[in-house]
Amino acid sequence: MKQYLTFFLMPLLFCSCLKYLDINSNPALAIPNTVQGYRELIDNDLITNNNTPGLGHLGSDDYMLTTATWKNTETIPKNAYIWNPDIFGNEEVLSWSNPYEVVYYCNVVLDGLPHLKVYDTASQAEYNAVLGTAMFVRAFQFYALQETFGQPWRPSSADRDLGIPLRLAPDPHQQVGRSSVQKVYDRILLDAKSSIALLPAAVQFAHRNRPCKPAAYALISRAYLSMQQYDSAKVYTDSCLLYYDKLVDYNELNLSANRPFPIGGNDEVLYQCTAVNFKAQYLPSSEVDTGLYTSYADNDLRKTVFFRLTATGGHYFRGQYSGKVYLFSGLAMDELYLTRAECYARLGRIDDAMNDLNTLLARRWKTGTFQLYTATTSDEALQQILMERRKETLFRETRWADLRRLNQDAHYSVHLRRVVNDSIYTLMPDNPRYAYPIPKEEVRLSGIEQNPR
Amino acid sequence: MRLSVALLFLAGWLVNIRTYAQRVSFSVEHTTLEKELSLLEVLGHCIITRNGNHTQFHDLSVTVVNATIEEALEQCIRDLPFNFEVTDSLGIKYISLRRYRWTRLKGHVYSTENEPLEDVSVQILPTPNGVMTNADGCFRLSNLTDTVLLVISGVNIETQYVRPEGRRTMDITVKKKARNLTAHTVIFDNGYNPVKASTAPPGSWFQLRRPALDRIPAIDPTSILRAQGSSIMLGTGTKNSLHMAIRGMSTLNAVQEPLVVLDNFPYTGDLRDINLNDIESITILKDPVASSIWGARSGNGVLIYTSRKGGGKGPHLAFVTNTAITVKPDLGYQPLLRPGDDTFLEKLFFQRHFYDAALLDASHPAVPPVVIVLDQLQRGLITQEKADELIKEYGQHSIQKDLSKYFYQTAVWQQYHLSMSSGSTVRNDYFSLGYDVDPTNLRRNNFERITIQGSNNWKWLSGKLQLCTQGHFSKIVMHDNNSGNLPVNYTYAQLAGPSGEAMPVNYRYNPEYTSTQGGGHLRDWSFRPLQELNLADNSTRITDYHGQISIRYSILPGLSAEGMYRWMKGEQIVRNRYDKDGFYVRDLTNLFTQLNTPDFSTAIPAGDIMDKAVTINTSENMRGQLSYNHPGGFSGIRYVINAGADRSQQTMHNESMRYYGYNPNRGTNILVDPITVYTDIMGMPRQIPMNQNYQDLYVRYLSFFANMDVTLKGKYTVYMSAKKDGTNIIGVDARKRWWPFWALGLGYDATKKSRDTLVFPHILKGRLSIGCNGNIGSRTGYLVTQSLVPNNYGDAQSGISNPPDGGLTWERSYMLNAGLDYGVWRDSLSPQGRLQGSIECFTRWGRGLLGNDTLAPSSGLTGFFGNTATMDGWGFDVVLNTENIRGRFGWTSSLLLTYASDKVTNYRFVPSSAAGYTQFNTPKQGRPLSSLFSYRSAGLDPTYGDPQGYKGNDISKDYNSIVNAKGDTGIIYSGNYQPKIFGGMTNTFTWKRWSLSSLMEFKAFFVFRRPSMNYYAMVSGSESGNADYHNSWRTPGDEKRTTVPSPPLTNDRDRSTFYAYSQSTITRGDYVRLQDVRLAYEFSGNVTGKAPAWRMTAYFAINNMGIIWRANKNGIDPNAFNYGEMPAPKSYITGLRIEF
Repeated sequence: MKQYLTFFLMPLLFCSCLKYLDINSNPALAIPNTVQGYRELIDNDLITNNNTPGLGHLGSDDYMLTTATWKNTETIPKNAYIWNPDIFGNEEVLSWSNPYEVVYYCNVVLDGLPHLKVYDTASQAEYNAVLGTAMFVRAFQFYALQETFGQPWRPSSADRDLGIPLRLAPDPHQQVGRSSVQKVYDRILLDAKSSIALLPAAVQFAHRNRPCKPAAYALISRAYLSMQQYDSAKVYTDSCLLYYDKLVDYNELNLSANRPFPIGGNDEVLYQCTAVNFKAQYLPSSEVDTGLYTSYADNDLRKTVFFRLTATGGHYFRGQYSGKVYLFSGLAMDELYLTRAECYARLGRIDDAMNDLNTLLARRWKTGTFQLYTATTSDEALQQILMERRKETLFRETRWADLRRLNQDAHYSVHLRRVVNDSIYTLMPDNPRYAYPIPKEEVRLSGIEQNPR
Repeated sequence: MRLSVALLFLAGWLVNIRTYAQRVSFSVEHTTLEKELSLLEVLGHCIITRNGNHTQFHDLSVTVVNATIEEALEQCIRDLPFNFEVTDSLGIKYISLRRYRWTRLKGHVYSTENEPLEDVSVQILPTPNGVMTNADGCFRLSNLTDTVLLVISGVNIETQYVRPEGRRTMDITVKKKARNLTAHTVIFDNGYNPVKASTAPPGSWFQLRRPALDRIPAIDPTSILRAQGSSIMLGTGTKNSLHMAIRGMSTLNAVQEPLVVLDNFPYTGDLRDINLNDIESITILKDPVASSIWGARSGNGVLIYTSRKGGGKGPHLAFVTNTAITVKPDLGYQPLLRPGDDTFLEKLFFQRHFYDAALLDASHPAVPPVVIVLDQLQRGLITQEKADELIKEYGQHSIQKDLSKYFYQTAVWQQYHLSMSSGSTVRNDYFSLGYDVDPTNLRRNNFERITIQGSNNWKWLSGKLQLCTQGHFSKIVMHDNNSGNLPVNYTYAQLAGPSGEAMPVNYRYNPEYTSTQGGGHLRDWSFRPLQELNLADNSTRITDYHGQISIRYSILPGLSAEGMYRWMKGEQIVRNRYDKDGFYVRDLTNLFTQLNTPDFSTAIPAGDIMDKAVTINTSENMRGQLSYNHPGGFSGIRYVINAGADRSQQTMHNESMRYYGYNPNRGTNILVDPITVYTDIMGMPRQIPMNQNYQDLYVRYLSFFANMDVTLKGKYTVYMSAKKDGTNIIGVDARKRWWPFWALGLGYDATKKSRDTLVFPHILKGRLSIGCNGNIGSRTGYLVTQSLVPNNYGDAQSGISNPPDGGLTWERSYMLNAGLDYGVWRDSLSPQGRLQGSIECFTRWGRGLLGNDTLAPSSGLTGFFGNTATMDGWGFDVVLNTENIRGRFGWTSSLLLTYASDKVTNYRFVPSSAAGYTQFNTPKQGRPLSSLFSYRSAGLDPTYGDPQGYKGNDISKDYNSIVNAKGDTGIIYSGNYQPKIFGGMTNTFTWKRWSLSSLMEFKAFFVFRRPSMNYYAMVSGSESGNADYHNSWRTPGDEKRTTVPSPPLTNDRDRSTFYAYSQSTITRGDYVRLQDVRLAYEFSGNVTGKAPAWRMTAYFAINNMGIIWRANKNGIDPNAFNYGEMPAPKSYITGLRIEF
């Protein structure tokens, strides 16, 4: 009997072996095991809210450089300015790696958070918010990347055109190829829509680095707009405006301040975010396109709020909603009004369209000087709305996405033109250079397909 | 019948016949058996029936006197293969004589303790033939007659004579020699399941036993393995910090040293706590079959230390004492610039404005005295004559002379060790006490050690239940007040004045600044090395204790269960006291002096500063195993099955603390404010430095194992092992946390065991093994975040400091090993053969090694450290032991040689510039792990003596772009810094009671980077000038004889860096060294004939004799080539070992 006892005792000695190995080897290492731990990760605003590609603006017609400035500028903006086939040279491409680092942070949160157990409602709400934030931020970055490096959404070939790689798990060794544009947008919409239920309803006034329900609606409307699905875009704009519809009256701004908008975000900002910065985006030597500047009426307050005179007589942009010198690339209410106005116009609801446009512009003109905009045809309305969109959302990275979309319709397409060093560079609407090249390092290491330039 | 009667009478006339009733006497010579039988029939009135052929026996002689019939017949058939049976019927004896068949005999030889004895010679007298017993003590003989006499003899037993007397099987019990201290049965100890060497699994291992362990005393129990342990390389002496490697390298970034096991469990304490005098054997496990049982942590091989246990009969005492005189090292070995040249170069560089930056620097860094003199001269503070005089005087001093005089000494190291062991059939005990004291070659340093070790082994229930307990205590106290080096690098520094007073040297600050600052309100700010030496008070105390208990119960014959447990604690306390009068305290006090306060107050409290760091290392191990041992018998299948589980936990606790204003007499200290940012005396912000740290680490392992060893007919062996290991330090994914390790071995014993010729004097055994072991690094697979300052919105935020790696797992190290054990000319004195050893080839491949990886940027990570690298290697081992001369004068030799090479086969990370390879030793795919890469050198410029390199294919002096060239284009592979071939040779000569032995060590196929003249480093004060300068380029034409560049015209860092890491400084490292020579004389009890028996060995040895041959012409010892290193100094050792 004694002998058998030994047999039975042996396994007992080593039972619960899995638990035995569950101990943390170094308590000093903070391994996130609470919702708060993940919240702190996603609250790292230097990563999360600071890193959209910022390249689109460099190729846009919002600004212009003198030959002297251009010569002294950094490699990437220098090439981007003239839509060179090679943009990056041997430079490190933060415009690619930083947004993907944000995606990585999101994936870490999305991967780790579901392993936690939540017991009370308060922490459940926080849990939802963090999870929703990670989904929203990932969708937001995917959109920004797609509109820079992916092919533009073309309704006829979206399922064949190449978009960006969709990294959906934190495993850095995962081989991820480029998805079709259709798939990329499907994912953006899926993530953004999923986040709606999780995010808080109220705009996070004190924490505009954190998204909210209206921000998610705004992101979705932005995506639908790029997909030229104007009815859907309108529906989501409506949803957003149901939650929040505030606009800033520019008459109330302090115009003597260097930066007229506060750092924490003004009342129009739903979600605060800035782009990867290049000096060419914010140095006073990057002047606002002269044609664009002159298109503002004198009573249009934006002419003073947005611009400052440079030493050479040009104007530079100072109206960043980021409150800093860096390009604002987040979501703001003015864009929502313009989006809905455009959707109404395209859907033939001219009065509604002009109503939205006037609601916005009434707060942009000097009190008492504003006269309502009117239109009789959709086209007339659209012309005015697109013009105002250009004047309202400059230096925000959205112009590049708008160009990629509008160029598909010959009626609204734009021919870009630069003069540098006595040479003239042009970018025609159907040019493949509307998609930036994939960085060489990425192509070398993951073997994904390069964009034709 | 009638014929026989007739024959009888025919022979009769030759025979003197006398007849008595039933008793006979006769004598015949040169007759046949048949005649003898017939004679007996007639004389004894008996009838003999004959079965079997007996006609072949001729030429017999027999004399019988008054014997019975039986006795007479016995005499007749003596030595013949016959026996007989007698039946009495009606007064007539009927005798049936039967012939034996030629017999076979199978036998076992056992000791009186009933253990089978191996390698015992069984010789068949009167023939010269014989056999050896196998591991089961079994032997087989055939073609025997029962007349033979068997002689059972062996090294370890008392010779015994046995007659088989026609039996087919027999068990022979022999007495072991009461005490034999030189020869022991070789036990293969893998740390789990000690078995006799001959039944060890067919893996690769090597064992170091006495007397090799006693050759030269040492504190560090690994140093004994140098040149005496097969496949193990110690101290490569190159820039890599690697201390030991078995068969080369198997990992890039994980633990690189072999696993050290002390008595059943991995040893986590300080190795110096192990007293070599308490060690019975050191076993090196080289391949996966030998080390299979250690699975996950044995990728670098395993070192098993087995401590001595009690045994033998009665109490025995052994006393060892050693005294070693270590001579003062020769500082002249260091190739320093001659002081006169040093002053010359400083003058030259001062004129070239190299020192301008340092003289103008707001932090007032130290510059050499010559520069200060020249600066003062330039500013007109002193005259030309005075300056010349001072500089000339400086040139007379030599730092090496002063250092040698005041910092170094000849040391006398003493060792004492007393041990007692006793044994009986039910109990063995061992107890020992050891004491070592070594004042070391550095003045004011000291090393002291006490070790106490004890073990008991009880047997109950006639040996079925065994209990072993073991305890160890050791304490080490070290004083480390002298590093042997100075923090200044001008070679004319003067340490003592004419009357021996401590002199200041220019350290850290410009003395012009420190002597004028503060207007007399500061403490003396000069640095006097001699004063520092005398004030230093640094000590380390290491206390280590462990206890072990194991119980073994034999459930059934062959089946036993075993449980063991060890608890171990090591505590290390490092205490560094900075004396209030030492430079460190004076410097801090001055720095924190607030010049604008009326009383020139300082933030540093008066008193000493004390740093204390405590490390507590606790480990707990537990194991349970079941084993079944089927002995197999004569022809059967012998097999051993082991299965069990093992768990261990190691807890490491570190804490450190600093106390200001410490008063050593009262033990008090004063609190300081470490948070306030003070403005220091130079106007820089500064906080009071604190030295606080608190850390706990837990490492747990759990493993399950099973192995089986099957031997068929003693010829074929199959070994299988499987193990599953898990740990808490890797594997977020529970599946990756566990990894299976395995090993498979095949053995074949080709030693001819013929039945006809009874002795075949050679041994030949083949082995083939393959398996997978593991290694682990410090990387964790978990997501680790680091808290950052609050974000722009005031919220807590954190960043990822360690990206999670769910896939992180063990490194796998595979090895395929083929070995051949041979023994030639074996006999009972050399059961393994007079020429004996092994030859082995191995190939190894590491997979999933931790390495850096360049990732696609879309992964979100720029770099990644994970299981991404691979490495291959191969090599061979040769072990050759010979008994060259035997007799009164004896000579034995032993040669160990290992070749091991490796190659990194996959390493994805490519450094951004060539410096990554040349200066930072980044592994490079396709090259050995221990590669040295250099900038391609094109000799010296004939006009200026500048070093020249290549930019592309063009000769270039654009040092900046060469040093920072992208990728690996500008560099070449210069060789391996780990010797590919290494080994040792021992020769022992004996004459009567004298023995003389020597140990040689050799290393070959490696290079090292020789330090040379680095002008930039000399000017910046990070290195002394090098004697290579004396050989530098002076005039055009010199470029043909030298590669040492001329002094530069500008203080160009890249020029110096280029030369320092160019091909020109690569030096071949191969060498042959005479490690030691030892002369011993043995006295023993037999001389005086007194009881009890005693033995005494007295010896004299010289250790670190020096290099016999080296490949480099620079006189460099490749074990000490780095800046400031010196070869181990010679030591003269006398020792005495007395055993009762």
